[in-house]
Amino acid sequence: MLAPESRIYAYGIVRPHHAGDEQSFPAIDGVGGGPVRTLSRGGLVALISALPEGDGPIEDALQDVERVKRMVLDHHRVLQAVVDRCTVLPLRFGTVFGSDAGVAAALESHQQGLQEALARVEGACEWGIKLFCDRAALQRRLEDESPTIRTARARIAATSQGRAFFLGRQLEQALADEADLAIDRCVADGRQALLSTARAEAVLKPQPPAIHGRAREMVWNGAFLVATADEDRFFDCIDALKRSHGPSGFDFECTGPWPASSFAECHLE
Amino acid sequence: MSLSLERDRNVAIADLLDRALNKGVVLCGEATISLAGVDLVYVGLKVLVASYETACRIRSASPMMAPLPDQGGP
Repeated sequence: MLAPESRIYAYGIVRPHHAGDEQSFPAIDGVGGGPVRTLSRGGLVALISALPEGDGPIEDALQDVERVKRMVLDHHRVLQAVVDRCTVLPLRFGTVFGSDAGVAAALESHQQGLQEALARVEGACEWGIKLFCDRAALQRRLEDESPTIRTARARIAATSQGRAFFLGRQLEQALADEADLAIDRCVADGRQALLSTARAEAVLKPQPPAIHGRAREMVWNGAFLVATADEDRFFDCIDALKRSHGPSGFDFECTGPWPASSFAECHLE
Repeated sequence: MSLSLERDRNVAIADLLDRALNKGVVLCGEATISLAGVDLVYVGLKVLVASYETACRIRSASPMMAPLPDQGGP
């Protein structure tokens, strides 16, 4: 176990847009209230702050939902505070070192990997895209557009009750299958279009309804790394996708800009 | 909500947790503590979701002054 006085929380690795800018970063309070500062080594700058003494081991904090919530928000707030001044390579929440020397050693030993990761996100931001689908609206649309299904409905209506039940079940299943295919097509179309305006794409786990809180189903969740110069094209692309897929019950939701966490996924052992 | 407003620096807490806990560089070195994991995110989210339903967005248009959700957005 680490001694409480020697814990350094690290937020990210930054590369200032202008050399030396890290000397003039605004005063920011970090996780637990300690002042955020920078530590430079080997051409890399880490954004760090000392964790307050007496708060106990950071592992204990994770048992307390309110503390985790505050700490995650602090982690994010610190990165957001500098995102306009520098390229930010976010570290995973909970990266804690025993001392400044430990941070410096990590920068030194992972210099190449960190420089490469910084280069990948330089000049770009992460934007989240979620695709929601109103399945009932989609199935209505599919039915409206399909003479085959309308004919089948008319035939079922004209058959005996028992047979109509089974045929109806089959039709509903066929419609649900068609809806699945339409969702796959919309996801593929959206990803392809958005990726043409972006540097990279990351697939995230779709959130369950209890988390996203929408009536619609989340059918895809992902992120795009978009160069600042291409943002307008990216947004135009979202608008175009909303227009073309909206009538079929789809909606594209955009969040961001985020520090590029989803594109900073590397393990430097 | 118009797209231009959505594009403002609005951050949903679930998205934030997904990213902070599951993404980002894992930098191992002296005395790093590995905390993150998918289980933590989703166990945590189940508990967190109720308290965030009414205040689930952090507005950080002014990133220096990003308010906590329970202080409300502008």
